Amino acid sequence: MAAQKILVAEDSPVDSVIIQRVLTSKGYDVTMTKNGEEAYKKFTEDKFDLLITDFFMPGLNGYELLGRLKENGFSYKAIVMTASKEDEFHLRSLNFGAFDHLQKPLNLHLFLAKVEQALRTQF
Amino acid sequence: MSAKYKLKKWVRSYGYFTSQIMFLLVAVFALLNALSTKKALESVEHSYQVLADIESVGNSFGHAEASQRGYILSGNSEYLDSYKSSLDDLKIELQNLKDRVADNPEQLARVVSIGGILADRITLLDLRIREKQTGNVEIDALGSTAAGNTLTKRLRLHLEELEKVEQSLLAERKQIRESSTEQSGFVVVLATLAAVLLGITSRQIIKKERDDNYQQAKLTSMIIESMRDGLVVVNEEGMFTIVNKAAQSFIGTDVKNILPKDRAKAFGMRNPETNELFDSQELPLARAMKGEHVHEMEVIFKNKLHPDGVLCSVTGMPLLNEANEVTGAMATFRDISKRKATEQEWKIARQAAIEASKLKSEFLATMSHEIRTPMNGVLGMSTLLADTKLNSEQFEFVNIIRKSTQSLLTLINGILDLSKIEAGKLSLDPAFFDLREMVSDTVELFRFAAAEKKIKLTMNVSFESGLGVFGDSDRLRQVLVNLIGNAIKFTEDGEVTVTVTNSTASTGKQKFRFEVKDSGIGLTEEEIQKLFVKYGQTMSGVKKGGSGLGLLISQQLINLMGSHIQIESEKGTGSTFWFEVEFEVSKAEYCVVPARSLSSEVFKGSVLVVEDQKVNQKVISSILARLGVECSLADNGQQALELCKSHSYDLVFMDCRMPVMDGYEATEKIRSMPTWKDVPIVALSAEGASGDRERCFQVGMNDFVSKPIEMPVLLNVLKKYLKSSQNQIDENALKQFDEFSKDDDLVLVLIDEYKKAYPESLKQLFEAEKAGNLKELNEVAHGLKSSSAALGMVKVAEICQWLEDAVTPSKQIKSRMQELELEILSAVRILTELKTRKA
Repeated sequence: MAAQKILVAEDSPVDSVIIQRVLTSKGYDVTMTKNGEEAYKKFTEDKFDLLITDFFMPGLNGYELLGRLKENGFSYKAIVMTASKEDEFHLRSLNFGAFDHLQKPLNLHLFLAKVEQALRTQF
Repeated sequence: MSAKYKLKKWVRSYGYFTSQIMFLLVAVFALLNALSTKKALESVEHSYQVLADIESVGNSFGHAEASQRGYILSGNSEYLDSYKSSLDDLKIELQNLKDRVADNPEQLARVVSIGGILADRITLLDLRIREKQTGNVEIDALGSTAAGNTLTKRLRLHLEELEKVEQSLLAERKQIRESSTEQSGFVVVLATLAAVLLGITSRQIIKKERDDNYQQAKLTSMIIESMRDGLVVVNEEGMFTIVNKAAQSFIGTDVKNILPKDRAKAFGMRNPETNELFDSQELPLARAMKGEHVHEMEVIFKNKLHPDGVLCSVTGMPLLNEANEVTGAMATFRDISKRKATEQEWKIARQAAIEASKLKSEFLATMSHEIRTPMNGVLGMSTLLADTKLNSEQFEFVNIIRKSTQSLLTLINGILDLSKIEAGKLSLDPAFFDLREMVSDTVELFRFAAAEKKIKLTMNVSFESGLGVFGDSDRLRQVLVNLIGNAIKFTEDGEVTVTVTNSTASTGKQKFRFEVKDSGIGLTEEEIQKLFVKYGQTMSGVKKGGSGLGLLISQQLINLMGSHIQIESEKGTGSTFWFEVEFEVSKAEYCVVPARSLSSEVFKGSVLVVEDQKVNQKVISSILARLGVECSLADNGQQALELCKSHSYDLVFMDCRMPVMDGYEATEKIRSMPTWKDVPIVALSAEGASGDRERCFQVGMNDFVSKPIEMPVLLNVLKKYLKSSQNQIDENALKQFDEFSKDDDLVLVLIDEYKKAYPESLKQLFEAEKAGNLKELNEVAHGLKSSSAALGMVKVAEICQWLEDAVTPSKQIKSRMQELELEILSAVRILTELKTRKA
């Protein structure tokens, strides 16, 4: 079975390295992007099993990315990450059709568990 | 030497002699020639006589033949008598001829054969006469016979030949005689002329030389007489031969008859040290006579001419002949009393200057110290004031006070350093430290300042962490801070590169090359010359502000390390400041942890502060209280001693100079108590001098902090001796990375990423703050918080959170940002330390 493909949108270089390293170590095929626009372009060009996006990015933020994808008729399975503590973000992520929401700094085991869960789940 | 000169020299030396020899040779030649001419004349004469003889032989023979014929034809006996007498003549003449040509065998042979023919002919003639007398004669009309005619012809032919040969001999001899006379005359005239010329020339040269010598002697004598230095020359017996005017002014005019042994007394020559008369044997001339060179011996002449005495420097040397035997001696003497007096004045002036310079240095040191004490209060109190509730204006004012105090303190430290260096009191305090870490920390200090000016700050170190070098890390850091600070200060746009490379020195130590290169405004050759001059500053330096002390101190410090700072620079393209220092290295454990601020760190423990000044007590106790440390106070050593008897403390801060009982005594007493052996005691001193430091360690103190106390130093001490109650880094947050580390350490990779990214974030923060763009500020803080939190930088994340939440502009934002910068530096360092320690 071919490796499952994950698209990541993350502007923080430190978090990017962490996410890429963790996902790659589990055998996923990871594509990293640095902002919303880049992620949107990649997503429309290729087929991904999962989209992981940071909420807070310069330019197109996480929600705006999901909103634009939805508007243009793309369906996605997404996990949104924020470094903010408010529960409000969690709810808003779900409202935007995200599969799940993660709090930064990432608990890596929880992160991997949620990724796996998301990929397993069939709509 | 030119050929012409050689010739001239030869003529001068041998010309006259040669001309005499030539005259002699000419005479001998002329004599010999005369002899040979005489001989030639004789031989010509001889030839003439031979010819005459030949002629008479011919004549006599003709006469004899005619007489015989007369007799035959007439029978007259008179003819017979004539014939006989002719034969007698012929006999004699032939004999004469024979004798004459005896020296010439060829001619002799001819004469002999002529004699033979003649004898035959005479026999025939006689035969005819006898036939006549007997009447039995048959002859022709001429009275001759055919055989007789033949013989006569032969005789004539022989005679002719003889004559012919003699004629040619004569011609030859004449020729020889003439030519030899001609040649010899020519040679004699020429040689005589040459000899005369040579003689005259040599005479002239010698005369000219004599004249020159005379002129020379006259000139020498004039020079000697006009010399300002006295000059005397003595002969083999030690008697004066030359005493010039200057010498006479010292020893008088009538000195030629004074014996060497009486001179010391006669001239009043005294030893300047003892003022006693010299022994005659000690005098320069006496010593020179023994072959010694006496150089500038000081002698006082005290005599009628100089009743007060005059100080002279006397130089004596022996005069030697070609065989190196002493043939006399000479001495020169010079009045040096004026020079001595000047020297004395100069010595006094120099002493005074040194004294003044020392006093100045001491004054500077004292002043610095006096200024530092009140500044302790200003700095401490303003630090505390900044933490109280202030409105934004007040907060700004306090910040200005702190900044100004800080720069004043830097300046005073500079002056103190410089005066210590000048007074030779600054010494290095070497210990093992991690050089790479130190350089890296120093460069990190400028990370933000560089980012703010859009300067790319790069560090290249050719070796890894863990290389301990034995040196004074604080002083080396001071130099690097100065050089990097300048590089950034004088670069508007571009890059600053700090490079450290190492190589093995010939001494077995490691040689480290430190280089700070910028792409800034650069320096002209003239400016470089001025750089290390005290208080010298370039025009650009003046524009940028600063005391101009930094580089000078840096240079002096590097000098103390046995090297010096060098500059390569081009106006407009940048400068490179570099130096090479040798250190001993060790891979083993080294003990000095670089001082670093860890603000807001909270410690556990109780501390005793022993300090007589109330202001200082207040400052230090407030800071300690803020850091969560329980603090007791004592006004002097006596009180401290009492407290130590009844309480226990984790750390003691001890002022050195206090009334009643000073810090040194108190420490010694405290250390003598059984439970106080190992409690850390840290000296507080306003002196900052290393002498104090040594004394502190001698009496048993563990560490040394100079006043005014600076936060980073205090924190470092606390960190060293007290337990921290709160970790700046959440190590648990890092543990989860371990399983994702492969060959590398993921955390170290992340730290690298973080280091690359945060200066840009900080820059954006400050720009946003400046522009009053709070939204931007919140966003950047959020991003930085995310990265920092991922690395477990709790404190950094906390400040970022605060900035992210800031919704109204306030002065505090900027101060929190400054705090953030320090926190990041310290967190990165602690993280690196944590990881390298594990490795």
